[in-house]
Amino acid sequence: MAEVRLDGLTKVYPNGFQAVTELSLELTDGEFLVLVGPSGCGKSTALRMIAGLEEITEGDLYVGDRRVNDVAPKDRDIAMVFQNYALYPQMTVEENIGFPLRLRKIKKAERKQVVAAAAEVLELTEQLDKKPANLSGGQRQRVAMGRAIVREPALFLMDEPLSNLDAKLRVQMRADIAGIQRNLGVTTFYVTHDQVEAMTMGDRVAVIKDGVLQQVAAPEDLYDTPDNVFVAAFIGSPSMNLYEAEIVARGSGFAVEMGANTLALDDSVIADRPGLRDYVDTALVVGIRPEDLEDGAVSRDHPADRQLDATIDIREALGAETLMHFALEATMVDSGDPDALDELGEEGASRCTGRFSAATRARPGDRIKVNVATENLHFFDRSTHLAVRT
Amino acid sequence: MTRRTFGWFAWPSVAVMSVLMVFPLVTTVFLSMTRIFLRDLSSREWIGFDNYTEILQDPDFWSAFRLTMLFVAIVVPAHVVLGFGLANLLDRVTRARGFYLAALLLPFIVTPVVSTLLVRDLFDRGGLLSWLWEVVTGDPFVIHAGNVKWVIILHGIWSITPFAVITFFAGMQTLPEERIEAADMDGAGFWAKQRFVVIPHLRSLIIFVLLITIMDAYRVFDSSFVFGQSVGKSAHALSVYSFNTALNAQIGRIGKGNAISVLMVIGIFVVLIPFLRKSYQEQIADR
Repeated sequence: MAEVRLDGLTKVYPNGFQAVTELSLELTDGEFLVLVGPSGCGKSTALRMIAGLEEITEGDLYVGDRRVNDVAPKDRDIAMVFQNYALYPQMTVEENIGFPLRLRKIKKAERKQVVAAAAEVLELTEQLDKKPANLSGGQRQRVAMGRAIVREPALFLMDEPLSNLDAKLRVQMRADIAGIQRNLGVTTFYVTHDQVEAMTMGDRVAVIKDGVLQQVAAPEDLYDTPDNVFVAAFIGSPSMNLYEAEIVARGSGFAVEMGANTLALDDSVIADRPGLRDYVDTALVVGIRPEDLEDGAVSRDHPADRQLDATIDIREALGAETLMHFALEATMVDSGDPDALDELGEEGASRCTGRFSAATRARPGDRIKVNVATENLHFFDRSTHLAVRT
Repeated sequence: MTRRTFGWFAWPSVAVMSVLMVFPLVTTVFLSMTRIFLRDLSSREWIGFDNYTEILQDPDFWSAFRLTMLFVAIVVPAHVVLGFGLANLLDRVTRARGFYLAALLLPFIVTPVVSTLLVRDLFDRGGLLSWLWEVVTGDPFVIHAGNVKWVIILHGIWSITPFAVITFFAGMQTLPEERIEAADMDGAGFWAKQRFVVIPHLRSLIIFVLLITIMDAYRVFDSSFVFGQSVGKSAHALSVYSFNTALNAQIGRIGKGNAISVLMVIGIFVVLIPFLRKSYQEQIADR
């Protein structure tokens, strides 16, 4: 168990493709750090550099005080759980879990003990004599975990370990893995493209895009105060709604204009972020979380100058809440997430998603008023896409 | 499915099998118990097991038997090890793989008689290897009755190895990269990876190659025949012994030749049955 430090890790492939650019991260002892990003963002390359399966082009990697750039994977004191588990099919569960110990010439009796203890933690005791082919996906996943655990490594690496499980099992394993990690207290570096996994499992979450680190923060901070447009859109589901906008002076206060819509701003919004004054009459990006939108018919005492006019397109009732998709006359902003499903709408008419209370009666086609909690709006610079927070 | 429909489905293959396998086998066994000569096929005499007793007392049979067994015992394991090694090397090659693959396959593609002549010319007086031998030892290498079996074995290994190479190489392409990487992380060195990851993955292919090449090596003919032309009986393997007895000699003793064939069939069954049984049991156990 140890601290792990990535100092300016860069990976350039022989064909010139730069997969990771100057990635610097520090993992404290026992920390669960999740590296999250869309597909092809370089997160797996980063993980493989730490594992030693991929050469580090530039930068330094420290496990504890030791620089391990040129150390072979097996000597780095790092264990890895692979996406497809990579179990040895000819070995039983017991042999699979005990394999790293066997290679370290640990005696059979002691090996048996350690494996039994790990199996206990992972609830695999009943399966020890089975071969991987006879296990369920979740069990295989746990065997792969077991193989990592018995080594008592300084660092766990996990490469999208839940992506092959069905949705229900994934939710359970998410909690299981986080729980096991906490019990063992092993520093863990976890890679995923699923921001829900990142938010629920990580002590801290690092968001990466195109090989460049965007922001590292605790999950709540990442959600509440994203550093830029990409992080804002990537974290949270459904995604933050992002529009081109302008701040205008209105009477004694200010308002934000998004296409045909104008929303009055609390004085506190400007007071908290005096930097916004520089953006008056200047194009910027405004972000609205779906949870900051509500059906005007549900909560009636909302000020009329903080409402949007909308026509409902699609209604998704989830029981506890209802997701409402509607058209909004404003220009959407591309967050740069290649995995984002929603295409940008036509100029002047774009989509917006709101997370409404289940009490809403609005139906597709209805013309409704949508309340906006303007005190929670996010603002970003139009050209740099960086958050305006001060 | 009723017995009747089963019969309808099965009879064509049963018929084909009968014509192609059962009939020749029965004929062979029948002929092996007669005295019949190639130059006069009409006169046939039933003599029971006389051919067999004669063969078992024939020193030429035992000489051919020993050569065949030695050939199988060395060529089969040697080519599996060599094939595995070469497949491993080929797997590492990233550029011009096709060229190396084709070069490795060459001995397998060339007609066996031609490749035997090639080897003979290399080893015999005036050949390149013979000359090299002379440079090292002072005397030119000459193929004679005493050493011919080693040249035949060398040729056997050389010409059959490509089969193992290409089979193992194909098998290695289906090995998930992740499993190798997992072994890397678990602390496996080169040999441990071969032992715990690569060889288990190739296991069924190794058994397949062993089965095929045991049968193939057991009936070695071409090289034995070609060398037999120059050095005589000491180069003869069982199939050449059988061929010469039945067809090549002045008299052409078809009955005795067939008896040799029957003994060979029994021999290969004795060699293969434990093998087949073991792999069958494992297949069942793995299920």
